[in-house]
Amino acid sequence: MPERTDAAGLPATRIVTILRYAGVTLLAALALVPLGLGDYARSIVAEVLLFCIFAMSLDLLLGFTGLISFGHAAFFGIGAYTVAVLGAQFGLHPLLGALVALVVAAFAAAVIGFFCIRASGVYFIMLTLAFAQLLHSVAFKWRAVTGGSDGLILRSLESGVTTYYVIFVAFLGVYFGLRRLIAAPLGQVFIGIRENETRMRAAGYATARYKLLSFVIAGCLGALSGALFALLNGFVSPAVLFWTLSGEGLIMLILGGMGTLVGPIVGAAVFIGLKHTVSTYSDHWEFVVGAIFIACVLFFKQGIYGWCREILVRGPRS
Amino acid sequence: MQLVAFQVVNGLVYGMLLFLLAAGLSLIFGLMRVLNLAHGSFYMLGAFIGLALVQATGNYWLAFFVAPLLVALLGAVFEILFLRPLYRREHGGHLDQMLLTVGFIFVFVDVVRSIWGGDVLGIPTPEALSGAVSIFGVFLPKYRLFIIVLGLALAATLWFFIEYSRLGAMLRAGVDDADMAEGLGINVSRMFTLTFALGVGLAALAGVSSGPMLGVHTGMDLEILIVTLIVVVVGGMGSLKGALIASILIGEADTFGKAYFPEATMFLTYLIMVGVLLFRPTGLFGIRQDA
Amino acid sequence: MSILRLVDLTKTFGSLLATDCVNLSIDAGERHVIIGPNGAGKTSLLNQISGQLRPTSGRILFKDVEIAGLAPERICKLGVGRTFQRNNLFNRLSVLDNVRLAVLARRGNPMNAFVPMARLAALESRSVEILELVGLGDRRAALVRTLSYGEQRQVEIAIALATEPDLLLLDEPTAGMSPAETGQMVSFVAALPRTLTILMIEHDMQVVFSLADRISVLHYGRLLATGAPAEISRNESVQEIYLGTAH
Repeated sequence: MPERTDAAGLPATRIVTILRYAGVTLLAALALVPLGLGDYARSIVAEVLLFCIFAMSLDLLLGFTGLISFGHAAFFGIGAYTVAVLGAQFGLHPLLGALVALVVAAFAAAVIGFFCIRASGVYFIMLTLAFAQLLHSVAFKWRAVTGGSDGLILRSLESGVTTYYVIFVAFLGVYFGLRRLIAAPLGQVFIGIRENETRMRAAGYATARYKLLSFVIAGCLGALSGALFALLNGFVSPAVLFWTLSGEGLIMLILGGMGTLVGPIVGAAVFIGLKHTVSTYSDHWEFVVGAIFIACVLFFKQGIYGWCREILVRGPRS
Repeated sequence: MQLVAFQVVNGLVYGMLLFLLAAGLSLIFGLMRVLNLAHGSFYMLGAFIGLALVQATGNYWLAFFVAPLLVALLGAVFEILFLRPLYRREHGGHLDQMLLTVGFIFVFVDVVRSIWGGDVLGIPTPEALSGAVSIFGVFLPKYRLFIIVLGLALAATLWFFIEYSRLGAMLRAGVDDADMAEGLGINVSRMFTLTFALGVGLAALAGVSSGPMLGVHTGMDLEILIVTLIVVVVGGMGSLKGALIASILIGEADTFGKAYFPEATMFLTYLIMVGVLLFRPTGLFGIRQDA
Repeated sequence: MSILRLVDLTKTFGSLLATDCVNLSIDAGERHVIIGPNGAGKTSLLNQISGQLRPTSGRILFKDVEIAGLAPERICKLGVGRTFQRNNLFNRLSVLDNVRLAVLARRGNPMNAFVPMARLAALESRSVEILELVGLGDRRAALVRTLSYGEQRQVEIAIALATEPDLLLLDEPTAGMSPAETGQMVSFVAALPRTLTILMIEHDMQVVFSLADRISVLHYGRLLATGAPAEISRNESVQEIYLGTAH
């Protein structure tokens, strides 16, 4: 068996052993959270977990396929609104609503992705943003269905603990599912496209088709995180479709380290933690987001997780 | 007749503002390969700085000339401090530069909100241009006609500049290779700074000009950015002619959309964009790229 | 039996003629070398055959099928493999992964989203087979970016062979190689089976004459002469324009 390396080209064996123990401990702790924490703390952990799904789904596009989307809030919003609208207007159970949300998101991602991928390169990021803002203005204007700026209130699950476990299970499913996908041929094709699309095409890959597939999978998982957000929050407003959320997704990836699955998880956790901390002390959350964004791009490109791995490989002293 | 003519003029006015933004965005991208997603933020800064100058001095024309200059200066500093260190990175650092501009959208919106608050404010129309004139029996506001003349004059100036200046020659040749440009005997980094300053200065000029018509508020950055991006998609990146025609087209579509389909204002605009993407994915006047 | 025919092939970039009404027929199994000074349009010609460039006019017939203007992936699937003039690889992936992606396209199911690639033994053994063929068997675990330039050229060829082409396009396979590496590359290409047709661009005249069955000379996009090596070296206009000045 040849030595495995990860996307950053670091030898993987040593890191894997260390991180595997850390990971198992963390998962065990997360499974036990509802027993040890109060309602507020539990809902924060749940929020972190659902944003981990959001960040991982965006990373599939950006970190693994090399497609920079500045409109991932579109899918988060589609997920949240599908659950909320079906619940509020038709009384559908939110868990069923979440399933419908996946189908709606797949369809929307196929249509939006078709146009965004057609005009490649720098147009992709422009178009993803434009389509997301279109959905945002629809949510604002179509008051009869979405409640406009008032938003929609929906029925929550029987208990907060149930909601937590639903989110936890979804998180596990997405993490292990994506890990499987990335190691499998399909994921390797995505990585090949990220690394060198010209070469992939010359090797016989119809790359546009794979990029669309990546966009659809990422869209579905983004919608899943949105649906879980609606479930946890019990309330959905056009904010779930706003461009700031797309930008926050990008910062989670940069902060944690893109091109890995653990990176977005670390990024989402740190980001949400910071958000709750800073918001209690200051009104300038957006300034802080921007400052972190700028600082990371300028000085900390590998992200927290990438940095940790470098330390593990080189040793702390060098 | 009065109403339709009025809408046509409004569309043209909006088109001219969009042109100033799209031309700047295209110019920056064409020369530097940087997609400046904070372009709408510089537009917003132009409007707010203009507003502050009008409030402080009571003189619209001072604001009209000084606000874009201040923003251009800010743009130059921005380019030197933040964009320049990244050119040496992989693929010219263009991905990082774009992400950086996203960060600045957040920063600028927060700064503007801290200083001016979140309400919609207005810049009063300058006295010399208030009121309307009658053209062929149709009454049209003087200020709007002024914006149209201004836009067309700037379009002509830019065209002349790109056709006959050295920078224009580089732009037309599509030089993105710094070594080659150095070979042409041009100080590239100064050229980049000037281009960025010019591009965001044009955005700020659009911002301060829009103040008396569209109002000044914190959401205006993304609002205009989206429409500008659509203009660039429709017209084709890097084409001045494309930017002008697409700006007018989208300006009219947006204005008529707002007037006749108030429930779905963006509908017409997006329909045009989707149509162009279907039939000419690189825009109406964009260069067709091979695979 | 011709496997590739170019008919009145023309490509313009603005006012520049990169390919000027080229007519050329290449037989199955032939080793055909294109020579010509820099800027003669050699790479543009290759790019049109493999689909990276769309011809302005004219026809490209591969096994009597029109391929002009098809997408590169379609042309690859039809049996045209290629290497690039400047190494064009997956630099951050391992040598094995580079080749395995190409093997996957031809022999595997790229839509498989469940079974780890490392467990697909058939793909791995086929990739290793190709790597051993090009002499990189023991370098499979290395990252491509850590290889020497010459080794990267070998990976280029390995990827092209992994697409299992009937026609192999080589764009200056020995460019930037040491004399020793060049010698290895020549004997490697010479040893490739005659079921494979090879169309290559080459500058090194020693390489050209040791491999070519026929040579075509390209000058400012025009095909100046085509013929056996002996004919080409006797051709006066070729000597004047190319051989005389360049070497």
